[in-house]
Amino acid sequence: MRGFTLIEVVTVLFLCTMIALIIFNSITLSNRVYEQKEELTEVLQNGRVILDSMSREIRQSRRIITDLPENMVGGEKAIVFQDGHLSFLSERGTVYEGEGRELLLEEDASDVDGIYEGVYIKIFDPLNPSRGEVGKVTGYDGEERKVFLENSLDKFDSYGGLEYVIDTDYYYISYFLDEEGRIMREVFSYYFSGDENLYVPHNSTPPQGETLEKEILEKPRVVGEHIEKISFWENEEVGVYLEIKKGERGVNLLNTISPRNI
Amino acid sequence: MKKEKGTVVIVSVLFLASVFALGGYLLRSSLTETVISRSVSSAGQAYYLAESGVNEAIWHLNNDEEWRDSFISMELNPDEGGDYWTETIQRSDIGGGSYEVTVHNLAPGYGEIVSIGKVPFADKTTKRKIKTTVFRGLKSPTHDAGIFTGGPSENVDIIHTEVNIYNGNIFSNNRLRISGNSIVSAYNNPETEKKEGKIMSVGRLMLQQDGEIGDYEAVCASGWCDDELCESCPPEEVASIIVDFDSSDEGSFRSRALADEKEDRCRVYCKKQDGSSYPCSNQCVFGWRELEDLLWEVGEGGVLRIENDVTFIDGKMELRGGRGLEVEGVLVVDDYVSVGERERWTRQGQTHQGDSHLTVKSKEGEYASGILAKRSMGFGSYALRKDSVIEGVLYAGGKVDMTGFSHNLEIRGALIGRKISLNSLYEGLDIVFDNERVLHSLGYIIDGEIVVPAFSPVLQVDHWEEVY
Repeated sequence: MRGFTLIEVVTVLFLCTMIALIIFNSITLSNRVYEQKEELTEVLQNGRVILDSMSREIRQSRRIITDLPENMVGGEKAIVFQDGHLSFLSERGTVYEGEGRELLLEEDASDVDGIYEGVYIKIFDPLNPSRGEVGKVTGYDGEERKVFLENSLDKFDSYGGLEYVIDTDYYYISYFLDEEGRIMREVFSYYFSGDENLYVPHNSTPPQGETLEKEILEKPRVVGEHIEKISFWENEEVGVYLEIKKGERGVNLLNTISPRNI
Repeated sequence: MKKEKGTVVIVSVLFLASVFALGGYLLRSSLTETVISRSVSSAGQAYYLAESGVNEAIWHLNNDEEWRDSFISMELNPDEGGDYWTETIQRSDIGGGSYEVTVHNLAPGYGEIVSIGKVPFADKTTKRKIKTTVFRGLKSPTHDAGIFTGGPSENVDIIHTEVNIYNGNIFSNNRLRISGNSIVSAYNNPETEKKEGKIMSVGRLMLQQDGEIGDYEAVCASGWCDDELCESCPPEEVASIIVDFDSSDEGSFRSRALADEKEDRCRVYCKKQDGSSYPCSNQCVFGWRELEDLLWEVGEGGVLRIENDVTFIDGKMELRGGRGLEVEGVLVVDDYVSVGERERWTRQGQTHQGDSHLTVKSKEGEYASGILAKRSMGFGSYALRKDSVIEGVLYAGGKVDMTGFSHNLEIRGALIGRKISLNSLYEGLDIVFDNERVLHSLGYIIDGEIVVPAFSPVLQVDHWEEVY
């Protein structure tokens, strides 16, 4: 029996180190590649979600409100358009009873299941009409005239005897880029200061002594992030151009959409 | 036994393991990529498959006699015990996907089309669903109404607006809502035997927030009628008034405009702000961009004057950026019309702005004049520069929105739409109803001859909605 010679040991150590280095490097490389792919995936996913959501809503819109230029170059950074997803509904009446996320409407309300799904319902106190709150309807049982809300309304403990307004004619949706590079979506409507419970078009002129006010129906929420640039324009169709970048990875996406409900 | 020496096995195993790990990472990320890119493209594919479904259903409604008859007349499906008429088509293996489209009547001549496009990928299926409503309009009188909505269940909404209708009625095929300090009056024409001045609505007449009716002869609405009318109140629902925009029939507006163009009877003038005026086109049929080019050419403060009997625009028409448009005859727009809804117009890097202006009148001794839009029509706060008269009919196959212009508008003819919203027109909207003008302008009387418009070859497509 004999031991290893020094040369053998040194050689083996050297070889092992080299192999370890190669392995380490390849793992680092593969990690880096994986991370880059992940970033690209995230960037693409963001772009896809933003474009999908915008395209669908612009396709359904009734009017594009923003003055959009004809070309992509010099396009607008934000867009406002009139929502057209819902059929025209314009109703008001009394809430029979309810609290939290459920309320029962009076007999006059529609008996069609699901008809109010997706609309914003405003509940207000008839004795003090400026005390009101908006909620989003997530479900409707036509037989019982029962409305299910996304969230309960904080201003009221119970809804019995209050009045409600549903008016889908003038919902406006805005997409804009915030300072942190996120695309935000907001839904709102307008009213005259003399009557907060009657929605009017964005370009209405208020009566003397009153002002045109904005009612937020849905607070701005994030649709996507890592946006470097966004541009909207309009000629025959509405165009959207997006530049998305995370880390060193980025994609540019472009889509043109033809509104169907104008 | 001889003891083995060496490190080759260990090194090989370590090396192979690292290669597998690396390969695994790469494989996984590229698979993720593939799934994403396939789901992106299959989503688009599914959407367009669903859209093909809608188009196939519309084709059947237009061309398949059995479908058409059932769609128009059959309220109840005899086979399925009381349900409305419905029909389904399924197509599979179209470009690797499939669609299923169902037409379901909500009322005779009014239905909903629901189409689902499906594209399989991996072990999943991408789906896109489109809903749209379609309706068939029929020739029907306006009930002597100066403001008229017909067709499936749409309202007339009047908010903060004073409306006067002379020599005519007001007719809403659903509810008539008068709110926010509005006053609506309708006056009888003492020179005719017929009694006008009626306020008619198939649904309820709603007076809200200080809205009121001023002068009128009678009300005929759901739950509200005045003596002599009560037997026939509320009025029966009516179909929308159909206009033959673009069929191959020689009486269609498109055919008439083409015929005029062939005979060189089209004259369009550009008038610039400095007063110079010159003929700038001899067309009667324009693409939307050709019209845009002309409107851009006249410049801010300029006027485009169209002297054609019939002008047909293949697409939308938008008046903005301080343009004037004078129409002597009928201007027919195959898409939507927007007048002064936007103040600015940015093109070729330049921005023009200002109030726009529209005037309409008929040629001397003739009746036909007006603006007819296949889809919606909107007048916004930049629509008028001064008190104005539109001597003609304003007709929209879709919704009419008049909002916020600060001058009085008088329409000598009628205002016709699927739904009408009048909002904050404090200087008032006056309508002098003129049936003769309605019949001529909508193409029911051409050159003195009564023409019953052919059945519209295209159904009106109404509300478009995507559901996921």
